[in-house]
Amino acid sequence: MAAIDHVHEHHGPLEFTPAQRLRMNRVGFWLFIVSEVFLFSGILVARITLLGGTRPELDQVLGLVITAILLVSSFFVNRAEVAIAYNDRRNFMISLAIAIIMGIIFTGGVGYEWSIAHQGPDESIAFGMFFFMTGMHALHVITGVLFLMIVFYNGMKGHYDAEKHFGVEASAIYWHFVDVVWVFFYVSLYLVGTVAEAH
Amino acid sequence: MDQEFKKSPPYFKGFAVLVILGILTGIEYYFGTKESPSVIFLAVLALIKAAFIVNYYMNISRLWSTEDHH
Repeated sequence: MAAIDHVHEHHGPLEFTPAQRLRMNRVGFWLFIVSEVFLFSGILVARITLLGGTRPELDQVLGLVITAILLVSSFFVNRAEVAIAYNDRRNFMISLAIAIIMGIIFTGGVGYEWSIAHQGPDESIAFGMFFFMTGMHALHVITGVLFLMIVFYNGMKGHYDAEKHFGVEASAIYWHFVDVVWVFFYVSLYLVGTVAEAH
Repeated sequence: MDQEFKKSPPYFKGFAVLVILGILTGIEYYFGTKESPSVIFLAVLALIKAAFIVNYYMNISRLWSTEDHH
C-alpha cells in the first residue's frame, strides 16, 4: 500500500514552486527571443549580401529622431519595470503610458519615412531592402506596443505587484529586444556605405 | 531597513544607460554621416550599444541568478 501511494505521488500532476515557474517562464521567453535573433540576423545578412557597401538614400535627421525616440521609450519601459518591482504603481503606469505613446510615434515616423522614400520597394534592391527591414521591424514594434497595452490594462486592474510581475518583465524584454534590433538596422540602413545609385 | 530600501527605486541606473546610449548614437551619427565612414567602427559602436541594452535593460543575468521571486 505504501508502495502504491509512493507511485501515485510521482505520477500526479506536476507542481512547481513560484520560483521554479518564474525560472521556466524566463528561460522559455529568452528562447523565443533567441528565435527572433535568428530571424533578424538572417535579414541583416541579406542586407549585407545584397547591398554591400551601398545604402538607400534616406532622411538622416528623421532616422536619428526615430532612433532617439525608440531609445528613450526603452528607458521608460525599464523605468516601469523598476517601478513595479518597488511597488511604485504611479511611476509604473506613467512610464508605461509614455513608452506606448513613443512606440506609436516611432511607428508613425517609419510610416512617414515610407511616404517620402525616393523609390518604391519594387524599384531598386536598396529600397526593397529598406522597406523589408523597416517593415519587419515595425511589425515587431506594433506587436510590442500591443504587448505593453495589455500590460497597461492589467496594471490598471492591479494585476501586478513587486512579488508578481512576470508579464511586465516579458513585455520589457521584448521591447528592449526590438530596440536592439533597431540599433543594428539603423546603422546598416542609414549610416554604413555610400548612397546607392538610382536605377 | 529592507523596507526602507524598497521605498526608493533605483531609477538612476536606467537614466545613466540612456545617456550613454545617447552619446554613442551621437558619435555614430557624426561619423556615419561623414564621407566614407568606417564600417568596423560603426559595427563596434552598435555592438556596445546592444550590450548595454541586453545587460542593463533586458537584465540577461537574471537567467542564471538565484533570485527566487520578483
